[in-house]
Amino acid sequence: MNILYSFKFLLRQLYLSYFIPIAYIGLLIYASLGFYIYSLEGSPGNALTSSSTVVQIGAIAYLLLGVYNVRLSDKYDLKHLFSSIKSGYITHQMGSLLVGIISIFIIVICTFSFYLLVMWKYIYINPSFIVDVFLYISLYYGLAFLVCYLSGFMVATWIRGKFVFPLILLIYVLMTPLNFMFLRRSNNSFFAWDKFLNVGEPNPTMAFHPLYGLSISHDQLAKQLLFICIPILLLFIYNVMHGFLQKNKYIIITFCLVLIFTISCLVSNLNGGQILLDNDAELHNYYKNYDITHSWEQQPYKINEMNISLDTKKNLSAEVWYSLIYEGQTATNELIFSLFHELKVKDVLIDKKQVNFNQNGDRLKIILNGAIERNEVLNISLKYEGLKTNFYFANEQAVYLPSYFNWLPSIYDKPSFIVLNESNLLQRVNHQLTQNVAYNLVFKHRGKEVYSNLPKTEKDEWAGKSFSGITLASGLLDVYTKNDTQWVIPFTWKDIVDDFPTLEADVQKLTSIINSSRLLPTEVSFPKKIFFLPNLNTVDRNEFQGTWYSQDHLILGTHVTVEYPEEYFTTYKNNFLVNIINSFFINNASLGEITDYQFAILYRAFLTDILLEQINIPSSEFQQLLESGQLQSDKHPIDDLVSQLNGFKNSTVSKDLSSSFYKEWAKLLHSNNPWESLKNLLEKVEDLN
Amino acid sequence: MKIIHVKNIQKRFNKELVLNDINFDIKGSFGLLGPNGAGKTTLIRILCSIIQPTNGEIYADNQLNWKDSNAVKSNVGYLPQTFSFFKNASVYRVLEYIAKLKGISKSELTNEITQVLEETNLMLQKDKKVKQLSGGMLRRLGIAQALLGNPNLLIVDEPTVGLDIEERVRFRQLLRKLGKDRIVLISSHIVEDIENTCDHICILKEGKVVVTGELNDLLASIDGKVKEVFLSSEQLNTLSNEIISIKELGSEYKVRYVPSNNSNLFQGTSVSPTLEDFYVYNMNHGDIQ
Ligand SMILES: Nc1ncnc2c1ncn2[C@@H]1O[C@H](COP(=O)(O)OP(=O)(O)OP(=O)(O)O)[C@@H](O)[C@H]1O
Ligand SMILES: [Mg+2]
Repeated sequence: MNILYSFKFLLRQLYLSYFIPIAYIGLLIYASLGFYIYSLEGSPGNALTSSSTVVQIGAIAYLLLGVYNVRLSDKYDLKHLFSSIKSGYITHQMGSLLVGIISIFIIVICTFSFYLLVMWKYIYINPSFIVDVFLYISLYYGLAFLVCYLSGFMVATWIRGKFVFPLILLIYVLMTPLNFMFLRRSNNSFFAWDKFLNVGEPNPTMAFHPLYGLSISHDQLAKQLLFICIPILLLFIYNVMHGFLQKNKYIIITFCLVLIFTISCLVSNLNGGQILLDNDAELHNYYKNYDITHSWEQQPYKINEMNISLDTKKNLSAEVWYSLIYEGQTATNELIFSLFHELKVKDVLIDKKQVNFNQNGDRLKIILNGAIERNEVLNISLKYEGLKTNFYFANEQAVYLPSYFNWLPSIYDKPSFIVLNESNLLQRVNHQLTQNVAYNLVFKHRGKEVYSNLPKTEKDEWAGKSFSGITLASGLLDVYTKNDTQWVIPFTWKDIVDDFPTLEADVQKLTSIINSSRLLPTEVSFPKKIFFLPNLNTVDRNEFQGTWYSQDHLILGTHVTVEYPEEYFTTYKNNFLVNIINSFFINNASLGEITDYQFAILYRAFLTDILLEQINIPSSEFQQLLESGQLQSDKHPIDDLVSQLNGFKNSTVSKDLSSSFYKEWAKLLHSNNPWESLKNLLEKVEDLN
Repeated sequence: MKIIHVKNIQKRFNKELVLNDINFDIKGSFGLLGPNGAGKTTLIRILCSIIQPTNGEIYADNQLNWKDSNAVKSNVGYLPQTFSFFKNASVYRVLEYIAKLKGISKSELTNEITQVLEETNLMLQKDKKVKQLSGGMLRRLGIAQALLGNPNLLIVDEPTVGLDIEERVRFRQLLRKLGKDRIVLISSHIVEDIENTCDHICILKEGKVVVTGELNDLLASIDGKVKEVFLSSEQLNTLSNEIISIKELGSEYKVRYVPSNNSNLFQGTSVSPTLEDFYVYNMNHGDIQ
């Protein structure tokens, strides 16, 4: 009770200082103003993730307030007076701390209320996001300010002189969102100090991620608690050392408990799970240096059945059982799979017997105990865990595991990404398993609703036969049905769905042209399930990397930076059509493997122009491709080819999509040495004319 | 509580021995006299149980032992050498805050505060802010807060520091008055502070007790040893070591001194010794106990 009185007394003293209440109200107004401005743009997410300046200002304010509150008592030399009173010093200290805590609490409540007020119209449809917002404000305003207040308080308690101020400045520079300017050294750094120390928004330079949402995972909370406990412990030590706290068994027990808690926060942080990161370049660099010298082949395995048990407590952890029929011509004593390198395999069992394995990049080699013959059946069980990239997610907050990604062991012996030598573009490699597999997935996800192309059979279970692998998505998503088509889409983009018919009409025209001219070996149509997701990162310069076609679902991708686009499909219809065409012809695993991505890019551009012309949409993909220089290569000079293609494009023959030329060209995507063959193909066509 | 025994107190800061084997009894109005750096404040902090002695013990006649620092704290009122408070707080609020910290119950709060305000003659200033108080008022506020909770032992470190002559006199009167009901311990390097207020003293020098006892007994011990003489400025130089005080009177100086071999030249008249005489005598001649 005396602590409360002490709090009241000190609060009054601060209030009477004029400057502090003005600064406090200024901070509140500043934070609210930001929310208001973003509400005009309809950006409920960015309003928070872009508010690092609020943290930046609040942090220095609370660091200084912490120092001020200590110095105020020191100035009047009250320490000795208070310590001559039973528990006087501790009561006064607790009262001072309470001033910080309660004022911070009020900031949290006020900013949250104001946020709700201005953003209600965007977020009321998703109550779980409202909870997220409260957690976000509590974590990155509340606890961040508390860390600063306690640190300032603690430093000033320990250190008397002017030296406090450089120290405060150091804490400020190291622990606030701008710290990446000083701490981020190289992209391959072994430990991201900037992320670890920053108590504000973890990715201040990144736009709000409409799928992942706000960074509010347990790891983030553990980190904030860690940095709250450290100054508390140091204050504890100070008080005991100076006799303000009597060393008795209760004090020692409390101290030990806080210490244990601090250590567990630290440990949980050091081997923490996946968090949202803004370091796209890391993955790009990894694949730039990736050894791709060995030949890539589809492995002769047939899979009929696959049981998967998935967990996302910290990051992805999976147990996969499947029966595999070996269909190779010759006997072998090893199996090759592809599995994204961040997923570390713990254990491999074949027919319940442990076998050796090694992981080299994305390549997983399983060494069998004995040779196997054609048509032999193996029961394989794998355990693995990992994942920290920001391209795919699997933690308690968000899940994005698309069917084209080798988060399940893939029978294509290829890496998950490649970087095209010539253009330095990061290219996702399709690992979708196009065999008819009976899947059975058990996935206890503690976060938000999980969506999949597989039908949900019961709580936490999905099962069914599919030719398209498994896509899983969870996060700030909602599902909407429009014209019989199910959309899984970030709830902040909900209104985009209304604009869908514009796109759908054109896609239908395209598919009927494609189908009637038999451009593809199988017919295509808009699948009835569409995952419209922000799956393109800042390093993705080729937008068609985000859109992937399969029989039972389409992943329609766009940039994460998109927040609340009105008439999005109308405005960007051409881009979407280009991407969807690409997904039919390139990002479509049922057509076979792409042997040369550069060649595929050429094909895509050329064909897109011809197709869009048919539905009277102007397109200059081919021209743009030539200008971008992405086709340049030392291995196969393209100048002749380009002039041949230009000649062909201007001829009337090129408009006939049912001509055998396009089918032949399509086949070349899956053949070796396609460049030379295309030349020959073009020469043949020229001869015909 | 009538008497407090200080036994073999020793205090070290790091390597430095600041208090060395201090022994005395505190009773009545007690004066702790000593030059700057003698260790008065350190000793007082030990008596307030703010810091613990390195060695030794303190206990009172009523079973109170300084090992139980919480018990000591509720028996002691303390005015530190430098006292100030949040400058925007009013006198009343300062007292209210301290009273709360001391755990004085809500029902007694107003009464207690009124009482100490009256005792320290601050009633009229109770709504003034700390920054509006004069040095004397602030010092009295210091006493007022120390009196909250009606402590058995009132400890005042350098009571008159920063006060003008009139205020000093008034402040000493206040202390004398307060000494009637409780033990008052006053530390000072100013002899007058103690002489007019205390009946028992202890002189401290370089962390050791020089002398301690009842004031009158101590003065009696140097009775006849102090002389007074009128001298010119040239004569003054020959005395230097023996001088206790010099007062300028026109071209002459009235000098109080303690005669030794070379000062027998002058025919001084014996005077009755004051505490100042005793203090200076002990600083210069006294063998440390
Ligand atoms: N916390 C401390 N740490 C180290 N040394 C100290 C500390 N407090 C006091 N001292 C030293 O102890 C000695 C006695 O100091 P103290 O303040 O007790 O003297 P004092 O008699 O009160 O002097 P003054 O009349 O100037 O107030 C000094 O030399 C001082 O430097
Ligand atoms: Mg002192």
